[in-house]
Amino acid sequence: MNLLITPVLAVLVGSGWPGPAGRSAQALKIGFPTGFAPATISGLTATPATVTFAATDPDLSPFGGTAATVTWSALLGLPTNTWMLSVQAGASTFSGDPTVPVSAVTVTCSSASASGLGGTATCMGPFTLSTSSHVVATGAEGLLTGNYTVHIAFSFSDSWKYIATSACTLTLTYTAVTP
Amino acid sequence: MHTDTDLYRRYSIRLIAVLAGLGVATPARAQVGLGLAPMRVELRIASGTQRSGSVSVSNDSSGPMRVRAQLLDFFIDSEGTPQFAPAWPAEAGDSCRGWLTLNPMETELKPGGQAQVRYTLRMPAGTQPGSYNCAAGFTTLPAADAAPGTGLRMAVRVVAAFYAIAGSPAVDGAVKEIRLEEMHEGDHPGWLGVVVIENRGSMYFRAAGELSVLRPDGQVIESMPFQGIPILPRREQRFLFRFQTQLAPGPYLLRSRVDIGANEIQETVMPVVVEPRKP
Repeated sequence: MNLLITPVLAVLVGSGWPGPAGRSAQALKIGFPTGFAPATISGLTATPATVTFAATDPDLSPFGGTAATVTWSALLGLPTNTWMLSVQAGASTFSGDPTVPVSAVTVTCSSASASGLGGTATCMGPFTLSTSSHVVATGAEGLLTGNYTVHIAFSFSDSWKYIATSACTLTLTYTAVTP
Repeated sequence: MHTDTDLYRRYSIRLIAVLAGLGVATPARAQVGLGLAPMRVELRIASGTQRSGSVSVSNDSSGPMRVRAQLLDFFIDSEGTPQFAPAWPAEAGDSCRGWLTLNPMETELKPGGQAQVRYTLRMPAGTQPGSYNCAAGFTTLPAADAAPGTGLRMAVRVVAAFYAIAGSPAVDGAVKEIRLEEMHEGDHPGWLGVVVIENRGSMYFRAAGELSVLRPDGQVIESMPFQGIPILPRREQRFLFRFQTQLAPGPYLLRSRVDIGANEIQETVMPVVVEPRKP
């Protein structure tokens, strides 16, 4: 295996670096298997099936909804493979009330865990919901087998400008992938 | 006489009463037990030929489940998130979606049951050497009786990523940029390492290795691994490393060691200075 030393990039955060603008690389002996991923996922589950926002007064928003939990298991994983759980809205507004944008919903990963040798899980920061995928949590696959759990909280920022209707729903899709 | 605000308030309160009732009455069953094997398929295929195989979609729950398949384009965005959609026009040149067929496209799975979904990928004659990517998504259909008042209905989707490789394209990539940024996520500011890897070729690859922040004497303070995401052809991919360590003002080194699968490890070292935060 060859060692390629690329030029040191002279991009600084701030200023005042007192030393030379370059460093040479040291000899390396590391190796990683890449590209191998016949991983199998099973039991991808989102609980509960619905989250309801019990709004009472928009002036008091945001309202927390019922938290959701997503779990699954994976076989034939490798710690060099990355798993991701993402979420996206099926439309840009709630059905039944197009005045309510999906950006009224904030998604927060409360906790994430992974089992299996080398398996890791990291919550990403809160984000507003959109029709694009956002990663809720990510990590490394556990070696061979792993169980994964991600707890998610939703909050809804109500507004007086949202027109009242009897039903105002949105379908969310969780996607588990190891691309 | 009511003002607009009063009217909205009255409507809103009435709505809330209805919704609260619906919310209590709505069953909240789980969207349960979707499985898929394998989650990634790589096919080396001669242009003008086709390959067939199958993926297994399973229902590991105690209830029936309806699953719909969808052919998808995908790319990895600047945050490292795979973005799937029925069509991304900008990805047309690198997509194998139009070459892929699935059968069946929708199926009902019994409790504990599974279905073999057959795929065929037909690579057109004259396809240029390189890798082409697309995906097959399998999504549960939300239960019709699970409609909340104001709220969210959950569906789950599993995705099999397909990589079709024509010819024997070489991996050609390099670290283009490495930097340290101040991060403001939540209440605790931190430091974000950013590495940009350029794929100059027509073959996708993955980066394996780590980004480390070191003291000027070479002592490692913290290392984080590269995400195992693909770097698709002819583009630059950002990798983000959210360091846990709070760095005090002073000089540091950022060191990237990365293997892109080209029988070499690329090392890049960059000096950085963390300046005191302004009050």
